[in-house]
Amino acid sequence: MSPQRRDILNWAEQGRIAEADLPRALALAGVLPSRAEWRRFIERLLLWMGTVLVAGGLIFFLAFNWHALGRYGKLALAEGAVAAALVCVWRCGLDRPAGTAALFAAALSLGALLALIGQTYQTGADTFELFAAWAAMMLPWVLVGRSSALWLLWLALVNLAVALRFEATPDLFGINVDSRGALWVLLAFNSAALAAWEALAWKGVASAHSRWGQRLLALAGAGIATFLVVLHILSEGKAAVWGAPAWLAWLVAAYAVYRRPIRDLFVLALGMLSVVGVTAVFLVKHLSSEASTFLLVGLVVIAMSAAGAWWLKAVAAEGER
Amino acid sequence: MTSSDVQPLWDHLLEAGVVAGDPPPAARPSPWFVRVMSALCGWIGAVCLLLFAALGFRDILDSAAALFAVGAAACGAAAALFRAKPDSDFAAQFGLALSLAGQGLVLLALVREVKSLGAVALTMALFQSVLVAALPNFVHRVWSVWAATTAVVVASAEWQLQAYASGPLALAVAVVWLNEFRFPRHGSVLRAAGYGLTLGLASAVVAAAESTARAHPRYAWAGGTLSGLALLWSVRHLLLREAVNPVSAAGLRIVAAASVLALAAVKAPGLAPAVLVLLLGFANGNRVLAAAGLLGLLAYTSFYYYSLELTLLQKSVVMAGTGAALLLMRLQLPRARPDGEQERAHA
Repeated sequence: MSPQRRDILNWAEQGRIAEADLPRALALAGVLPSRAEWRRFIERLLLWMGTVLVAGGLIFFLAFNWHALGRYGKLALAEGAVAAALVCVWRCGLDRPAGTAALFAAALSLGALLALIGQTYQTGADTFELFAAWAAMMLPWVLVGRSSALWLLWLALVNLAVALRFEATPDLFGINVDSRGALWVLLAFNSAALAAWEALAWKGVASAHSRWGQRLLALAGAGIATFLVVLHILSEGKAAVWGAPAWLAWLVAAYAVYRRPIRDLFVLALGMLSVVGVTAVFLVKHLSSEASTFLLVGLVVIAMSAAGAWWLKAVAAEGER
Repeated sequence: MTSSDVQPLWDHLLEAGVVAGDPPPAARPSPWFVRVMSALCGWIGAVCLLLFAALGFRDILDSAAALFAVGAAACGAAAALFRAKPDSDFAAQFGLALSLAGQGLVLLALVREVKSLGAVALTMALFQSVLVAALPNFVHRVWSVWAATTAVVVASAEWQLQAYASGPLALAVAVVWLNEFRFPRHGSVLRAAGYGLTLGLASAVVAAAESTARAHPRYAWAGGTLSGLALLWSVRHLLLREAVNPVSAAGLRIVAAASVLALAAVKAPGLAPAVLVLLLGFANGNRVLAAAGLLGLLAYTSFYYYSLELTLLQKSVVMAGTGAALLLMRLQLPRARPDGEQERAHA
């Protein structure tokens, strides 16, 4: 909810804006969409829903492996979809939403084509190789597309490829690192991607303006770092030995970046939630399993989260982003 | 928030004659993610309090009446705390955890005493409805409405009716959000109900998908169809709100696009509720709600791959057909005029 919306609704609730005037007040503040914004919304909704549903339909169709259609027919269909999408990109240009959506459709169709090749020729490749090849082959399109949606798709594919890679072969450069290796690689990758995204936003690259990409990456980073430290605590340091230092480093970096230079309360709230959760796990693990322990932990959690909410409200009061 | 933050907005509204006098003292509610953080921490606190009660007072676990009494007392204490200290963060967190723990005890008592799952769920729905009225806390109200709605969905599942639950719920979501600005004095209650119902709608869509996968109810399409009708009704309402005649050329184009989605919802029941939430969020300038709709749309499209009510071939036809129809409709939209001209036309 935008700050203007919150303020106006708050004033209306206090009786400072009459019921009849509320829609006008919201429109004056730019909270309610104008007719031009409605038009843009409807155009984008039809464009993106249509694109994703058509590309999804192609993926579903190829996954069905319909025997009535031969292998060359299927390959022609998948390759034709990629080619048709690229023709749309060429005709529309990447400065128009239709061009970006077409490039997104090309990227999705490319995945369908790669899956079809694996299904048809039984290459013996692991699943992670499909996602890795998909991510590698669509990277040039992602770079020229300069679209948050394309970047998020690419990041999701890389995350999936890494997770599946360690599930299939738990070693890194010949060293056996078991399944937790994926967590470390993903923590490093998502943190690096977050730093790169913030740097692009700092430099004013258009596609980096929306905060949602950064917030999703921060969510992934915070989740993995928290999981690693919880593993560290529960195994008494035997597993994920560097879990606690990595978690602390993530928290300090998040505070340093998101408290002042790029003020983002979402990331600060994530950090606060992580601190509360890790504290609860630490206390439960290291105190005796008596009733009083749980009362103590419950009260600590409540006190910490109340203090956290108060602090976040104080930070928010310094001025909304 | 300082008064200087809101002064420009207040002055703008003052000029337009919408407000009078000086801006009221600053009391801006927390951003949504701070509330989500509080709710999750409240849950952790509630689990700890429940474990404390279970380990420290083992006797109460043996008696359903004692469980119910202690649970209800905890909820009562939370209500008193919320009312006595409405502005205290600690009271809000402690009250939330206390009430959640109390609800856990009440649920345990009901499970012990009542044999029918449907009856337990409906009793919990009733109990949560009482809590919505009695506990004046936004996060708690969102939780209670969600819990009550989910309990009704669970009850409907017990009687093999879950395939239909998403339709009436989609309509309820639409009614609440479309009337968000009609009762400004009760705005926070209405918004809490809106968020809770929206979360409940997601529960209903999941429950319906589960049921069609397992039991193939005869009228499984009814839920999706009703959601589609809720979408169409909302579109008509919004067209009238924006002073667009639904049977004008522009209005018919929008209604046709909504009809395509409503039709698709017969075979892909999650599409219409997700688009409905996205549409309502955009219409009311509520970015959180719009993002929830978008997330729901992405989640449902991914989930649809694994749902078993149709073959992948049938699903591909539904998706590609719907997508192609939407793209064709987009091509039919008249070319945009310069923004200024459109604004003048709107005025």
